[in-house]
Amino acid sequence: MPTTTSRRSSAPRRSAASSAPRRSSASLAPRTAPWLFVAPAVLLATGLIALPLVYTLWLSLRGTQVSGSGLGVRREVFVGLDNYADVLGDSALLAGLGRMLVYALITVPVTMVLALVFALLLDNVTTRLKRFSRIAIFVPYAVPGVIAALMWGFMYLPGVSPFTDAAGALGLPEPSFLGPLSVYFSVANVSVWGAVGFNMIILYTSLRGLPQEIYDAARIDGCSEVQLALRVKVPLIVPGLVMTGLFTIIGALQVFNEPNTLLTLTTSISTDWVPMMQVYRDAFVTNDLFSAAASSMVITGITLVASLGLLRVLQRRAFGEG
Amino acid sequence: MTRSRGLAAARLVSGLLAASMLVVACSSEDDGGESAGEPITLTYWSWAPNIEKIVDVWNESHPDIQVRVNTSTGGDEIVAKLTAANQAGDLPDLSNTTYQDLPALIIADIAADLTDVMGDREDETAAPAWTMTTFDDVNYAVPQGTSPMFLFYRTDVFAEHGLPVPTTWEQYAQVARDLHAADPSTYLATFPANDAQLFAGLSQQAGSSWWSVDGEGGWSVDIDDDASRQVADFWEGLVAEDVVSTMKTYTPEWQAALADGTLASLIGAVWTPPILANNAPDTVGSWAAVPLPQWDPAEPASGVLGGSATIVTTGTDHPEEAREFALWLNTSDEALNAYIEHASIWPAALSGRELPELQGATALMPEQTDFYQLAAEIDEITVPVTWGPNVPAAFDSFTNHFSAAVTARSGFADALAQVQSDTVADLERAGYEVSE
Repeated sequence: MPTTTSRRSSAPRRSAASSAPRRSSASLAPRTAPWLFVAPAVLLATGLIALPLVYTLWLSLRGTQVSGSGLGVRREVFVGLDNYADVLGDSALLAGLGRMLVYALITVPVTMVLALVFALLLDNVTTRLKRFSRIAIFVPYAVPGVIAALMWGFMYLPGVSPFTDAAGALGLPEPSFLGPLSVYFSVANVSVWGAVGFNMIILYTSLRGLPQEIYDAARIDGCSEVQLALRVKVPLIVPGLVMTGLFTIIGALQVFNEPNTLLTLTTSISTDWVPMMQVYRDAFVTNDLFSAAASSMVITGITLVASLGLLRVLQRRAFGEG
Repeated sequence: MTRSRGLAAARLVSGLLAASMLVVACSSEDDGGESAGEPITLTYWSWAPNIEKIVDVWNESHPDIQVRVNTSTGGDEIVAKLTAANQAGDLPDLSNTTYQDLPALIIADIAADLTDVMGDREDETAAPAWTMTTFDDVNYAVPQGTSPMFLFYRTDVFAEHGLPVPTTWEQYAQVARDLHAADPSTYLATFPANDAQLFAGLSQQAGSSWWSVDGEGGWSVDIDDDASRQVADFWEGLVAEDVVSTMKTYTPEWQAALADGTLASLIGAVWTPPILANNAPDTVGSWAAVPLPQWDPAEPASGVLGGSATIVTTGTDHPEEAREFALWLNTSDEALNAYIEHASIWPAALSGRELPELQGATALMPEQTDFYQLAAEIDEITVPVTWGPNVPAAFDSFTNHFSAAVTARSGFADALAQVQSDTVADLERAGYEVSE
């Protein structure tokens, strides 16, 4: 391809020197080609992100009004910012955001630390059963979130939990997995269980990509394996850490599957436990699409500001830009 | 891609798939011939198990009016899905609905007026079903069944501990205490915070009417009234004493408790026996059913726990054929027999109750031959019920506030007041006039 490119790029220059009409027809190709290349991405972004966003924005400004008495007929009307006032004035969304933060404060560090530790252990020359361990840690990622939550939910429920039986057999007090406080850890556990393997693979791949010479040099200088891991390997995979960290945070902001599945099992989770559950509930259970749209816009705004802000801070380290 | 992104993508893909299937399903509606010779095809949404087999009976005898069933929409999401289909202009010709969702469908202008075929059937229809499908003398649905409430109890567990079968709520509370004292691992019942419908039914029995249309036009909401508070106080007492369990129903834990007998009774309805038989197959033969315990034995009453009906939508191109099918499906011996064979039903059409299969016992309780006779008697004492247009919102609020109250083992009255204010706020937000 290099020959084609150079020929094309040189063509306009030549034609510019000779005559005007030829220039315009010849320059058409280089002007349309980039658009053709980005067209699929632009179409997908427009169709699957921009348009639904605009439609959600439109819905969030609408509401219903019932005309006639008693069983009248319900019609859609324009209500301006009323839905936003309701959503922001209601303490439910704020409480949900608070619970989501608690969940995120547990999930994000635990996922990241475990993923890093497993990746470093697998990368260690003396570790045995590497292949088996790598697959064993990765497999939970292949289990769909809802199935994972059901499976863990089964183990959390006092009536059927093997942990309760085991504790009873050992004479220990019954563990409470679904208490008002422990429920945060129980929900976080389900997502950590699923997410660690995936993040570990990314970090492990980054580690494998590092040149071995650095390790040899460090070992010759008397560096122990632990020091090698902490002082050489970790600093070198910071971009990978930042990227997995960012995705883990976004994942925590969007948490839905795990608590929504456990909801059917326990009284410790409400239908508006986290913001995403509230949106789902409003849109599909209580049939208030308009409030759901307004909440969605608010959450989208928060997520966007949080991700962009974080990215701005971390960009240089993550992607070597800046 | 992170896990969540992957899931989002998966959801997107499945969403697109679902949307395309919807398009396929909807486009098939137009197969119906405009010219006289071609057969008409009606689409019918239902979530009932084995409904295809019942519809097959119709399709065989009506080659000109073929009905295609779509079972992809569950009972709890029918309003959301029908509303979306209505906006898209792609309503099915007919749909099932629970009684409590019917007002929402009427107000959304989805359920069509069926007075033509139902108007003269009041004498042939069980009273509870009639009142829940008739508003201002207009019939909006063909009722399928009624749901008389029962107390199901384990005869062997009761016999083992020498417990009487309670006929009043006072006795019920005493049995709960005695049973738990005799065997601390066993509970008489659970108070499930996820089952707002059960609580609503028990409140109706006590004399509460959660929604009503007042004379001046506009809804009034009386969830936090004396009768409901009486029910809330009663259960709060039992929960606080720890003589009833608080596990949610339809969980693995609940199934296990039913199967091993640590849950010795269940408040249910005429549709409960097959559910018990499925969840606890080893207990078949050890159950019996009696009418609900009463607050005042001199004036026995009962509430409503579920039940569904068939609507013809305003979007159908073949209203006459659709009405004919709706009537056949819920009132003809042919259809009701198929229901009995492939599913279960306690028909709202009184003639259907004479069918031979509804004279005997259920598989769960082979010795109780008067089960259906009791069901008919309980229908007689069932109070008239009006559901409001935002039942899902009220039930959702109930689940959340009573979950918290159950966890705290107190504050049931406050929770009830919260449900009341949430329900009123939701109605007002949706644009209704509400008087309290």
